[in-house]
Amino acid sequence: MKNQLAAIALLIAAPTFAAQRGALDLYNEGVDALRRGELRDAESTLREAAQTNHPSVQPLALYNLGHVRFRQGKETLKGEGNRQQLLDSAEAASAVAQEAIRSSQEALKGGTLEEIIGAYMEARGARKQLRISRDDTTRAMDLQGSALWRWRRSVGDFHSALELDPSNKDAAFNADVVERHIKDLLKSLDKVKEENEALSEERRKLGELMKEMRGKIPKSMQRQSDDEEDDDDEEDEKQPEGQKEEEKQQPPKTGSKQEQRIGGEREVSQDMAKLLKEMLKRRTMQLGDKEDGLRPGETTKFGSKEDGTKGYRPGDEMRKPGQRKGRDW
Amino acid sequence: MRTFIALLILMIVRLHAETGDARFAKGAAAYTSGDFAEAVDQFRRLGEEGNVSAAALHNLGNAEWKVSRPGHAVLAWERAHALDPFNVNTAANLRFARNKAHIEAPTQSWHELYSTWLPTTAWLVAASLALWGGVILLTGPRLLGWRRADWHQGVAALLLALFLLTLPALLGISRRAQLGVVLEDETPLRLTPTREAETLVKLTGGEVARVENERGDYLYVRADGDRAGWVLRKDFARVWQ
Repeated sequence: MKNQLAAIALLIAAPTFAAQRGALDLYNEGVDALRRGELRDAESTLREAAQTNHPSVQPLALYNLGHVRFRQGKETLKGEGNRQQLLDSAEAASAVAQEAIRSSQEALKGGTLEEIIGAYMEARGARKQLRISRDDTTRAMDLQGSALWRWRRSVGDFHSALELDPSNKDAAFNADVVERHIKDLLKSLDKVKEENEALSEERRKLGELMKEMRGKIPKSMQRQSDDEEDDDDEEDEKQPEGQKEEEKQQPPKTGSKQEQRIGGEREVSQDMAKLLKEMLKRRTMQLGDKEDGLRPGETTKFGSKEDGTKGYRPGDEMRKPGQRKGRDW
Repeated sequence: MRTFIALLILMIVRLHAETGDARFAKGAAAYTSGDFAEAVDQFRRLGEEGNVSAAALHNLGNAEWKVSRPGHAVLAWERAHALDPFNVNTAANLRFARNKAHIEAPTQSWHELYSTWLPTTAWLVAASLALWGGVILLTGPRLLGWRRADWHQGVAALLLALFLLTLPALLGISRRAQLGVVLEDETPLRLTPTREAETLVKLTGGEVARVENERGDYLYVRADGDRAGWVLRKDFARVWQ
């Protein structure tokens, strides 16, 4: 009779034991993953453990989930690089832009054609520099926003752990620590945001001035696409999704960096502007020129018949005449 | 003295009924005149005073819908439907509200669906009559010295079979007692029963979910699509209360 009763009790209690075991196993798996630094696995397993609603496992799972999310935030921030350097370079780009704005305004007030062209080239270089800095700050803002989200979630997890187990003083302490980190991050985010807005505003101003300067340069001295080329950034933003996808599929970094570098160096130089001005009369299409039609180390001109047979490498699409953005005078 | 007490009870019952009728009429008049907030108030108070009826709940649902509280409207209609499953208007309103909010009707097991074939009280009365009728017919002749007849056993067998048929419905009714309605739009479904819990998903007002657990101010509910988590009690109401 006793055995029968024990068997019945075991049958009744078995599902409870199984559920407890499941919750504990998940929790232990999550903690192991956290120790190994596998944060994504740790997060999903600890969430599952918390979701089992096991009263003794849930607060601990939440506590560790708080740790995981704090570390995830820190990992995310590693991608942004040196924050001070980013702000410094943004400020430098801003200073160059201010100078270009001043030159452009002076040239527009009554400068010679040569001065206008010089100011225009300077403005274009500054504007491109602004774009690079703005993109960097935007990226930093994205990363900081993502880290902020994770840290806020981390604070929520620590608070929840404390709510379920008021004796867990470590949870309260950790929540305070993360909150301090959030405060610092918010300060930094504000600074970057401010810088980003200033850069955008300066780019807009420069864009307007460039348009005005372009109006003062005779049409015969401009190429067909000159109207568009100064708005290359806007074009980048407005280009159809299909084209964006196409660019994403290419290995764009080498090509685009190269394009920016060549353009930037050439455009800010006053001497080069003069030289180019002389060339304006005889120039029609410059795409085949050695300066920008060729990739370093290649002898094949891109855009020629030879493309299809030799000299073609992935990434060269970036330089196809139809897609190329930055033409020069 | 006895007559006096009987008269007093009769008066109280009549007064109660008259108050209920008057409030129902007031609510209906407010609804007809377009004063939906007043209609909601009247029909609610009717329920609070104990005059619960399928018609009052149906009208309460309509008024709640008009004041743009779809969660509360669905709750009232679900309650009306539970009391009177044959009311086509209530069923149509529930379908309309679900279509409008793109919500699926709750998935129910076969015994839950079976239990909706008759009103709850009908199942309870049928089960009681069948059980006790069968027992009396089987034991009556022996205990009370009735003359035994064949029909006694035949009817007793029939009644006990009827009782067995009511059992799945009674099980369905007890399972349906766990069903409830999400009252507000964007109700967060939480990972844990805590104030700063992670939100797993947001539920739409009017969604029906099943209560599986309770802890403090929170209910652990499972909605369609196996979405389970904790909601605040104030954001959720059981159909059967």
